[in-house]
Amino acid sequence: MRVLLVEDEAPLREQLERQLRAAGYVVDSAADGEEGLYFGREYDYDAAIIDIGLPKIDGLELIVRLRKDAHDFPVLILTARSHWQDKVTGLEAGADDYLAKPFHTEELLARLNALVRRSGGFASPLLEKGELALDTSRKEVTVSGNAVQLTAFEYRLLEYLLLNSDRVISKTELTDHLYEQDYDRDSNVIEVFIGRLRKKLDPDGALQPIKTVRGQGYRLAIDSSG
Amino acid sequence: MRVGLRTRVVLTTSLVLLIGLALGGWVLVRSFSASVVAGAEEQLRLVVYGLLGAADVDDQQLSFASDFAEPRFVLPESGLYALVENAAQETLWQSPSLQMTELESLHFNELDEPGRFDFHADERFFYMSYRVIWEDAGEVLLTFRVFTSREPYLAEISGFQRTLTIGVAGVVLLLIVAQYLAVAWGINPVKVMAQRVRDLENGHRQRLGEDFPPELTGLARNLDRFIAHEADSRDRYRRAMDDLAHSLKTPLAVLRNGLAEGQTDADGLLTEQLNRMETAVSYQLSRAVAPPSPMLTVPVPVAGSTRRICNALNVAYASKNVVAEQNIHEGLAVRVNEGDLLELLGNVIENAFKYCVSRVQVSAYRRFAGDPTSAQVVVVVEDDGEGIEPSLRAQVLARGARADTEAPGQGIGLAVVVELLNGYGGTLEIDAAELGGARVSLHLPAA
Repeated sequence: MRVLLVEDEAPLREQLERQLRAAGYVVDSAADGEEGLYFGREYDYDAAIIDIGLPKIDGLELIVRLRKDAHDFPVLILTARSHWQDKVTGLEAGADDYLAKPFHTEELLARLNALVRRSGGFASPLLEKGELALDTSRKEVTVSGNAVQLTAFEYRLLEYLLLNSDRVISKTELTDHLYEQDYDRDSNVIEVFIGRLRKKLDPDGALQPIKTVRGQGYRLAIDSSG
Repeated sequence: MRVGLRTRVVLTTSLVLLIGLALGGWVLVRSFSASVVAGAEEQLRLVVYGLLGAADVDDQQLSFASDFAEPRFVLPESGLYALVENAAQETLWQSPSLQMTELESLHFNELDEPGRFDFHADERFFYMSYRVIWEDAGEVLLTFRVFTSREPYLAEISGFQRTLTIGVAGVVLLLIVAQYLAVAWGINPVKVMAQRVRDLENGHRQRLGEDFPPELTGLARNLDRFIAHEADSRDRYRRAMDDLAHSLKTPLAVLRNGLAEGQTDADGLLTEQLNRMETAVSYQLSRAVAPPSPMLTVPVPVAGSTRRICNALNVAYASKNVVAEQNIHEGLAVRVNEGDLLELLGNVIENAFKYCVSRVQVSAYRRFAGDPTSAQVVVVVEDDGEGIEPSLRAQVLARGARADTEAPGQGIGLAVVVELLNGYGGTLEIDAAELGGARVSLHLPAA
């Protein structure tokens, strides 16, 4: 998951960056609204965390401009406590949820997780697709009720495929959303990981959960009949 | 330069008075002169008729009846004169009063046709001429000229002018004095008020008082309220800051000692202190933020703010699919700062969204408590959650009041709402909703 973080307070921004990365997110961070707008227009994100009080372009204005440019990724706004005016105008401007400062990191991650899930069309933290189930709060994966042990990257890869299972996802998109910017795009790491994931999820080849669409990318599709 | 109120009123009204009366006087003098001249014309016409009646032409000779008597014609320089000319402008007769007058100095008009009066004036005389054809003696053309000195008429006019001027001047003087006194009396309460404001500034008074004329009592009362409100705000602020300082001391001491001992947060002690500090800051700051004075608050419709909050919460709680019913009359408004109203409604309605199963209901009504100035709008927020135990209700509201001894993790939303409401003289009640959950009622000052 690639997340845009726009926060002008350097200590908080750096702390959040570390915590988001530790939670498996790919993070781009911006220190002001202008930079935030540049990132938001340049890259495709799965979610954004935007502070309301930003220099250069105000957080609300930033959301309005991003929404006007048809960027519909979910936005979580950070407000000072006791500022309902900010919360309401933020949600009216196009944000999807708010969090009052000071907050606990667990709460931020839970809200972010819920937003990403919601935008993928899942109401509960348990993402299910046929025999495949991914519990986003426990970070556990089961196939037909049997737990599958995945590495952190494999888990993120599967989560992304699951949240976007309605469409074909290119290798480039996977690279963009799961790797930091300095990743070498020519390598075939994604193919290797897809191969490993297939083996772990479907050792006997009965489910075939990840389909390869030639020349386009991958698509998660599981027949519920199994 | 700033011109005083009294000077402004007296100066402008005096000026208008002077111009008005001068204009009126001028019109009066003009019409009086006109009527005097018209009187002179009429008089001369009568004299001409008298002459015509007394005249007799016999064999080209003009004579007057013996009983024709106009004493002023006889006396030289009497002021009334007459002469009669023939067609060749030769004088056939002249009144004895003309004996000492140079005829060349007179300005007669040339007359064309007979049977018409001609009246005109020069510097000295009013002239009246009349040309007639005397048929008894074989059509003799005669011109009767009568003229009178203007002097007595001018004297009459200037006499009138003098009397008028004296009268008008007297009236003007009287009016200006009366007006000056009236203005002085009228603005006296303003001067008293200004003096009292100075006394307030010097600390000799605490309030303006109410003993002002009805036009000013409203202003005085509002100023007094404003002053009381300011004093109250300062007091709130000071108390909140004192309390904040006090409630931060304990956790700060614990943290400092913990740091000195190289303590880790294994037992959650440091986190607990941080939570206490966070609660204390939020709660005490909400107490310190004084609401604006009620007179400076514009009426804010409740329905609009409620709608905004519910729409926002529907976005934030999208996955919960809450059905939020709003039953609020559009005209219902409160005298609460808009930001504060959002704060109040936001905290209470968010709780309802958080704790409900699927339904939230917000309604409002106006309640009169005897005195119309203390009318209230009651906003009722209900949900279908588990509600708040009666024994816990008081505790929920009191949270934050003892922030330094409070267990971590407890929300202080409602306590903040209560503090904010207090500033507006409002109250909060918690009981059970018909929907099954909690019912929170906010009593706010109506607009």
